[in-house]
Amino acid sequence: MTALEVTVNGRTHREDVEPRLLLSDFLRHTLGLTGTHVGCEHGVCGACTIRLDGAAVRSCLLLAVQADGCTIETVEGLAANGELHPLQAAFREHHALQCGFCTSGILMAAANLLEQDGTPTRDEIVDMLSGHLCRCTGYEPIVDAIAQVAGTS
Amino acid sequence: MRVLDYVSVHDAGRLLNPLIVEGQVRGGFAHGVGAALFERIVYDEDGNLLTGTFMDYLCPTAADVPSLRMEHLETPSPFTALGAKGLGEGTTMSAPVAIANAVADALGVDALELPLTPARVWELLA
Repeated sequence: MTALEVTVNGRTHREDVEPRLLLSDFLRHTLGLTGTHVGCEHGVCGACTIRLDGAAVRSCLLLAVQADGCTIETVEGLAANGELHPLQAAFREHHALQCGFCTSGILMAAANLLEQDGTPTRDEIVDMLSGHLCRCTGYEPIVDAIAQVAGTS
Repeated sequence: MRVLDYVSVHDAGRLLNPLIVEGQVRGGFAHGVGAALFERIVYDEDGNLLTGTFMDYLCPTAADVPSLRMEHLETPSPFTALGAKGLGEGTTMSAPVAIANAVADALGVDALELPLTPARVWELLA
């Protein structure tokens, strides 16, 4: 077992973990943060996307021990003070989710995009979104929702 | 190959929640585009699945799904209390057919196999 210290959504956790434990499984099973979803487990579908030290990453492609000392944000940290994050509110307004499996990963990647570039164009949003698989929505409502928050719709 | 325009019209009776209706049509359309252009299950001659991961089995992404024009007819069903009919993933069925027919018409062929991968379209052109 390896000692691990990470800050997740503002709270510091110290845990002893197996070196082989994936970061996605650490978040879900050790910390109980099941908002991060696990789809393909080989970095294609994007469902497990989180923010790690301010970058959108796939938590299924990292070991938990690689995140030692890092700051992580998951979908559970998006809403503040009982209020939906503007992206979450826009997703609801545009019906940008149906089953919701891909949603948490897309929300984290979109939050990251908006933080890095406050006014992404529709093409830039589609480019970011092309790293995520959604089987329900046909993507267009997701692009609409992100573009609305970006003010570029 | 690019889909330049696509129009989808359904009669789902009375639309109880237009957002859900449009979500089903858009999602079904994305599935249909996948079936028409990308998604293919391949086995080798020993029966091993060669397309068991998303690296080998292509699902349409945001950049692959063309924009969609959508219209609705509302003929209330006389058989249900609220006049609604079903619209679960309606366009899933029609999109592969429409895209296949467009390609068949453009190339002057009357038999083709889905998905229309670049290699298959190339063979049709030969």
